[in-house]
Amino acid sequence: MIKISNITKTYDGTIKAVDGLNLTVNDGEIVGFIGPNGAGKTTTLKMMTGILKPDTGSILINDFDMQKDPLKAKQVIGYIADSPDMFLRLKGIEFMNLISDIYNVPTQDRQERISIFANRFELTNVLDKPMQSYSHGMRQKMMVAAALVHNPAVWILDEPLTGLDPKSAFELKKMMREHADAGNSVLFSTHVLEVAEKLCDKVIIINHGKTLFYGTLDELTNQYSNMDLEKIFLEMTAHE
Amino acid sequence: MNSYITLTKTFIASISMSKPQDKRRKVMIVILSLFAVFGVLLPVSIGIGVLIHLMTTTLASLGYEALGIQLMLHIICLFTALFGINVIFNEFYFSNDIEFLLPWPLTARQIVGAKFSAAYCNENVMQFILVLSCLIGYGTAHHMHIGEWILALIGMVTLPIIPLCYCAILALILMAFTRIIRSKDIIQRMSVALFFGIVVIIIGSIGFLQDMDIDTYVSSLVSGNQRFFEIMNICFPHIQLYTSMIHGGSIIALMEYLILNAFAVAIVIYLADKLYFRGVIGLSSHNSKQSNRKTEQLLATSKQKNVFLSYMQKEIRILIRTPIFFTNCIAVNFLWPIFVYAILKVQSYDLNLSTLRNLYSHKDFRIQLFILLGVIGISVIVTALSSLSSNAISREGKHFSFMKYIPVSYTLQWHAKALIGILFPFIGVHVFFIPACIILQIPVLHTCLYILLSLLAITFVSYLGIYIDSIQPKLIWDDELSALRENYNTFFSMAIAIGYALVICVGGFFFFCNTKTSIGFMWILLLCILSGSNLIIFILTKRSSIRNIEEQEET
Repeated sequence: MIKISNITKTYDGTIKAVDGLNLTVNDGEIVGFIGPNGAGKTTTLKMMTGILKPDTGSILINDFDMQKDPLKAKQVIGYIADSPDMFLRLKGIEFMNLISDIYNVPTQDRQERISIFANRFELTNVLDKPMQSYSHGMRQKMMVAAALVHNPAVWILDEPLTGLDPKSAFELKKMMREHADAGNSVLFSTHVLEVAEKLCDKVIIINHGKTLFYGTLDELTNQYSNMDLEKIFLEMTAHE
Repeated sequence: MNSYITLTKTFIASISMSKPQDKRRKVMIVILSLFAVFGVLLPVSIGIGVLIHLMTTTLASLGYEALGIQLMLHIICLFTALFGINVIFNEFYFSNDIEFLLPWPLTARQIVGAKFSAAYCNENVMQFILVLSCLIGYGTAHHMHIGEWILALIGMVTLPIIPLCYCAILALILMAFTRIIRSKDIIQRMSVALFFGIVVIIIGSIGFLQDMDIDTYVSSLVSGNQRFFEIMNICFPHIQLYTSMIHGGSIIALMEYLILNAFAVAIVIYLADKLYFRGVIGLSSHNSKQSNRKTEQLLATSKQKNVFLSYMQKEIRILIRTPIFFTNCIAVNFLWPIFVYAILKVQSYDLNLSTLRNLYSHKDFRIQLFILLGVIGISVIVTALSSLSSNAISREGKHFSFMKYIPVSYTLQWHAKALIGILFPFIGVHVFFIPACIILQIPVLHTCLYILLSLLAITFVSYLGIYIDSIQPKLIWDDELSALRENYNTFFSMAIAIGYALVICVGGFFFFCNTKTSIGFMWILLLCILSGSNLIIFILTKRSSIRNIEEQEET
């Protein structure tokens, strides 16, 4: 479960990127994080993962406070950053092993999971090659596999479908559903409203660091009758 | 022309380091800057100025008063060309922005011109300071008049152009003929190997400077035996014109000097038009090595390791596999014997193996002190030069967030990075030092003590470096070389390390010479000083370094 209470983040003392945001992602839920560019989505996700420190407010990840107990909170997160260009000099298998060691994944578990992810994302032929030689999509698949290799309870994914081919995108969406159905939490940011519509149990729409809407899609469409999600999104963000 | 100016401004802007946000870091940066300027840069500049002043005064009586400054300018140009090779290859062909520039409607001369200008601005701040010191030393001895000063300052700005043009011409020609290789990594390794090759040849051949004090220099000059001087005059003809400008205020020499510079730039532009795209298009980062291990084999090797070891392994792999990091941070640790050889040659020490063995076995205190202080000095300088720890956080660049979101304590990551900064300099120093001890038949106990003192010296510099880098790491860079060369932390760390080495070695030497103390006491004293330094740096910086990493945000 993710519980964010009243977090605020200001850059350079003037630019308020996130302004009093509240959010709860319950176990068993997939929540889509939607907003225009610069709305504060990535900043929020980075505060949730410990990359940025909020100015005010608290973040609980499976009841571990990110400020007070960061190592325990980080241990239960699977995080995919917005750029897959990470440690490109390492081979895929080396990167997977590094992440496995960092998250203390036992030998047998890692071997099983690496094998599963390599097959699901068609990475078997590239595991022994430097990630520098991978295509963008291939790197993204490797990041997804590495983020999930320790079987984290909470998935925090920053635009995880960007660059994935249709089969891999389908696989990841299926995995997100399976993970949530198993009683875990998934929070992901996206610009693709159709994905949010099909996959999410709830959505949070933010702009200028403030929540514009948080709830189920039915609640959202009921507020704006006769409008599809795209029009609702444009309407909401245009009035901000 | 507009595109060229815009590109140049952009490239220069990308060089600068971001400024710290909070007061504590700002104060630390100011303190480090002041120390670097007043503790190192200023004394070195004054030293050079005084040297040139003395040379000018001595040579004036023989009618060669401009030759002192001419020699110094030759050496400065030589080093500009040497260091420029790496920079120009990197700027022209390997920086990450190339793939964004190529699709734009830019001509080769615009890209090359802008990159050349940015490299020129970036590389020559230090050179201007050195040249200015030379000019002041010369000007005060020669009593230069205002006209000569004006010409000198005009010429000073353009002095590095020709050495950098050589690098650009070399890069453009070589890269145009590397179409078969195409792999960035291989070509980058080759360019760096070329750089090291030239360094080794030059330093190694410095033996001809044997017995080079002012008296012997003057007598060899009078006898017409100045090989280095003659070769340099052919390589850098603009220096001769420059000295004519400042020694007599010749306007004609100024015109010739400027025409020569313009001609060199014109050649670079011409070659850029003809060769640049031929060399740059199609360069690929892909590794040509293909591995055929099956998934089962790979999985069989996937075994759980200790987090600390795994983190260190990641650092080592990146350092070794990234050509720029490998050469600037790893290979550089193994070059010190060449410099020691050159210094011994210049100082005209005539020591053979049996003499050294004999002196050591007969407990000659001078040789024991020389080795004792030497190994400490070398350990400090090698660690500082490798800059492994002083860019340990900067090297992360856009991956810095990785340090923040993984469930590994900052303390552990700090130690892992510091240990990397200890490991390679330690290997680099002792891969030569231990065999040297064996050859010299130095007792094992003595060897162990030398190694211990060296380890303490290396550890001090490593933790110092990582602390300095934690204050304001350079996390935004386009290519790996920028993370090193455009990083002030490396300079600050080197300045403090040089100061530390001077205090220990020179202080130790004078203490030993002026007090009738034993070499055994010196060992104990140095052991206490080095252990104390480590303890102080550890206690003082641990909390602060961790806090800096914790508070550091990506940009």
